[in-house]
Amino acid sequence: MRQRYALRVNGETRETEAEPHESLLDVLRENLRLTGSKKGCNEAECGSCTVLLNGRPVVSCLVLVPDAVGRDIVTIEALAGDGTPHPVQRQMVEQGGVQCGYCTPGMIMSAYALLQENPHPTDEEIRFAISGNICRCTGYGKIVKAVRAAAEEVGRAAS
Amino acid sequence: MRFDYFEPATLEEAGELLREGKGARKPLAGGTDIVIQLRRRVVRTQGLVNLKRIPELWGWAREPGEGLRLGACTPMRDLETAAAVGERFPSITEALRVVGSLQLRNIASVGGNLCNASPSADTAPPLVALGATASVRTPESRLETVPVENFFEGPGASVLGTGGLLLAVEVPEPAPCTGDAFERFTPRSAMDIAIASAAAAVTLDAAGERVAAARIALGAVAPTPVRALRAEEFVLEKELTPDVVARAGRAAMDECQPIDDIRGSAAYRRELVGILVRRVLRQAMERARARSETETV
Repeated sequence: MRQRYALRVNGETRETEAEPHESLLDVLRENLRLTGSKKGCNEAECGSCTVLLNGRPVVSCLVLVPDAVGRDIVTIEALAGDGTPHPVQRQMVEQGGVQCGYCTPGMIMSAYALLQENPHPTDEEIRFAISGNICRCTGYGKIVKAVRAAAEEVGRAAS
Repeated sequence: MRFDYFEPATLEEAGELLREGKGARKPLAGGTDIVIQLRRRVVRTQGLVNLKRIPELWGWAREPGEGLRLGACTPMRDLETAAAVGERFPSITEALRVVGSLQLRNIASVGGNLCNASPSADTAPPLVALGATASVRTPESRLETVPVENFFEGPGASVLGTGGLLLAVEVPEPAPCTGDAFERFTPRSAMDIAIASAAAAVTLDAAGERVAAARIALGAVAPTPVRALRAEEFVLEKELTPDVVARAGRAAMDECQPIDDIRGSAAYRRELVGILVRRVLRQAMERARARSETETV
């Protein structure tokens, strides 16, 4: 049965109608037109649908929409909400961490969540944080480099 | 994948909804197993009863000297990042760190991992080795305590049956000079399911030399997670020399009942059991020694 849901997405309350078995990912993409989060495997294997729920990265393909009610949802669209790319986004471009781009939004959300919690991660911590995001192009080296560079940039800006 | 959806606020309501469903409704915790099973249509259900809005099923508590209690719906990642869990029960943290991905563990619950009752459930071997118990609400609303080692009845089947609920898991405080460890083998280091896994909890005597008590649990090598009872008995009152550890590994190889499947052959799994049991016994012993040093200081 279709129901009305009020979701708090990127700081705004958005009303939408959906079936309770629909995933947060489908509702974000199809109903709210936030298509930055990608639908890769739809089974939690690839991480391309990663968003933050109450500050924590989750695979939105496995979150049923009623479970997102009352929680803060942050999608990739919020990171450059004011038109300025976040350091993680800029460094992904500058360091060559983006090739086909399909994994990029999820990868960035995982990296962003890591830096929120741990502003000075080691390479091992970066690799652990993005281990649920599959990239079939880059070999990960340049992505790790981009996250490290973004951490340094955020650190410099804060000091 | 259509179904009715319920969000009970209390255990009583949840129990009633499941009872009314007469087996056609399923409980939902993190959903990381059942949502995929429903989408693949390997499981069908008329309704999901979401347990995550029931406060009693959330959170964990660790009081020194009083073990660990964790609510069934607590996300895996909460425990994984808890220093108070990792310093006393490293095998639990080691198992949690390899389940799916970080984004999955922020959703998936420990209770769900047990209730899904996969023979390869990563959290099962450490909980079995540590002698954990499950608090269960039966379909008749009775509260029961079941050792986690008796919780599983077969692939996908547990003592809960169709209307029961897992409420919490309790891990007793280990005896002094006890160490524990978990290891699993997967071809990939992320996003993979164990071909075989093992956990051990070893208590050494006061001198830190001989084994006073040992529990060894195996995953993915039988229809349910199982204890390696003959290996446990073999190491009792012995020093864990390389020879003793190797022979314990062989005993465990003989008593597991692996199958051939897409992930590995039975023979390969058996071989892995020998190696994993050696590793977890050695690691558990080293941790028990380290602990006995800090405890006597």
